[in-house]
Amino acid sequence: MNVSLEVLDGVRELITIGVGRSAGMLNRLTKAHVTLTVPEVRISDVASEYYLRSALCTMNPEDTSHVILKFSGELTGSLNLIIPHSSALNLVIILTGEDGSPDEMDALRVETLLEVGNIIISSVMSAISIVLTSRLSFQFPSYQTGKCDSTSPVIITQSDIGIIARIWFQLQQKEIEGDLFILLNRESFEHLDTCIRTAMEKGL
Amino acid sequence: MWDENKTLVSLNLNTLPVGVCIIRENYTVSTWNRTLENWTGILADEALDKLLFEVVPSFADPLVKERVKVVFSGGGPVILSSRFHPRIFPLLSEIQNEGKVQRITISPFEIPNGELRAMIAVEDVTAITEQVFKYRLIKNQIQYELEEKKKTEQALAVAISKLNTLAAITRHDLNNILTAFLGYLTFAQNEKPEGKIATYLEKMRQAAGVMKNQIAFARDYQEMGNSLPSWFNIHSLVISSGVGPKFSGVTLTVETGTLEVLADPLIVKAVYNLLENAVRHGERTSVITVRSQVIEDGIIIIIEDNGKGVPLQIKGRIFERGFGSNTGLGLFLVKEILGITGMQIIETGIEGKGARFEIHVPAGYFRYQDS
Repeated sequence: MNVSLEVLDGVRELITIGVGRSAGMLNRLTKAHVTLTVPEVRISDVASEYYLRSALCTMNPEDTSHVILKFSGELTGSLNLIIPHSSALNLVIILTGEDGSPDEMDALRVETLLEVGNIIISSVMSAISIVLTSRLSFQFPSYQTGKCDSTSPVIITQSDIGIIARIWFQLQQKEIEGDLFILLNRESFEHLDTCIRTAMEKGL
Repeated sequence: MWDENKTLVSLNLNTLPVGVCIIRENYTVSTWNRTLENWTGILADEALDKLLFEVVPSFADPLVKERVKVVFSGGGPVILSSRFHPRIFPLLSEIQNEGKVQRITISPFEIPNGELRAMIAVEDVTAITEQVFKYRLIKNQIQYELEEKKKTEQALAVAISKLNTLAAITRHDLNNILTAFLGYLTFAQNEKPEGKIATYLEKMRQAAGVMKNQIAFARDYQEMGNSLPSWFNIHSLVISSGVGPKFSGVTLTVETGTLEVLADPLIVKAVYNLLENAVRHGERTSVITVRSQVIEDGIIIIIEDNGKGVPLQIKGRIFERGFGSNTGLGLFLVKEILGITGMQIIETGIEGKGARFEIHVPAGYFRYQDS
């Protein structure tokens, strides 16, 4: 699909603002030195093969952890943080400073990952809200595990457009990679496109 | 009509098993439910219209403050996990605070006049947290024990392997010596000695024969349980065992269909022993029938012949080691081989009418499988 460089830059900037804020919060929350970078942002049709390829290229699609925030209103869609399950477990272990090398995402670790994911997702959402004109309605964030392939609920969606932002977590000499998916219906994306252009004209 | 302080809404919130506090965009408290009153000892009247940070000091923490700000700036709901924020709302007394863990969720919502509010829900997750910690402890303990067991098994495997090697070498050497002994015995007997010497030499030959059988038994017994049990089709097993000159003139009927049993690979030897016994000890055996019968807790495989049968006075001893008119090892080995996978064998025939062996196969150790 054709997305202007201007809008792509705008989306990238909003995501980077949100992710940057969340890195600051994570640092203070965990007292670990966490660096978050967004090396790549892509926008494409959800139905396209390209979308799936770019979404899944670095992951083991069999085993992923998802933190999901659904919203509706001026924009309708969802924001999903997807991390390979073993990386998600590593992330929680490092951030909480747990001993040993546990192999299971138990209820407490899920809750912790949900907060970590929530910090990133809500910061990005908050950044996107800068360009919106009205408040969105949100469902409560949820956690899921499982496949991330063409049969995944994240992929099979009512949404038309996928914004994929790759996120690198760097902490304690380890690099953990996750993907942030912003899934929107076409009208919402067109509206976001307009909002970004308007904001840029005014000076974001 | 929306009346935040007194209306039906707050009455309904009072019935919830979670603490609920609603704040305005200016961070003043608009609702404080009864659960929070009970937990914190702070009455709604003391909290309402005050700044949240004054009522609950933990919200003054810059990080928590920033998280709440996200809710009001379009970031959506916020989760404060028990891991990073174990207790934001202080409980009534220090004693109650001990070990208590809370999970906080903050969700934005609009009231009918368009103003934004944030609902802070507080859950007491102490019980589930304790359960998870206990579960982790048990899991770690099991993992440790499994690792220890694995190490022990590895050590045992090495020890068994060494013992097997030692036993094999010893048997081999004994066989060599026995062969030499039998050779010299043959030379001695060829000299045609007479009288007592001839008798003694014959007894020595018999003793050497017994020794040879004992060595063979030791080899078979050592092999038992060394391989993992696998599935054997009874029909194929019986048919392939009942061939050769020993079985000429014997009609072998097998009516077990597709029955398979889980057994040590030495079952091949056990089945052969049973069939060979039927012919040798039956003396006049002309028919051997093998069939199966379903019972409550498994099946019974019946092997019966029309030979002379097992004499009543020895029935109870035929499975003992060292008992028998041949080597005394056959039926003992059969019982041991079957026993590896929980099978039991008894003899239920009638003397004069034939021998009848019943093998009880427990549930889970047999199946019907088309090849």
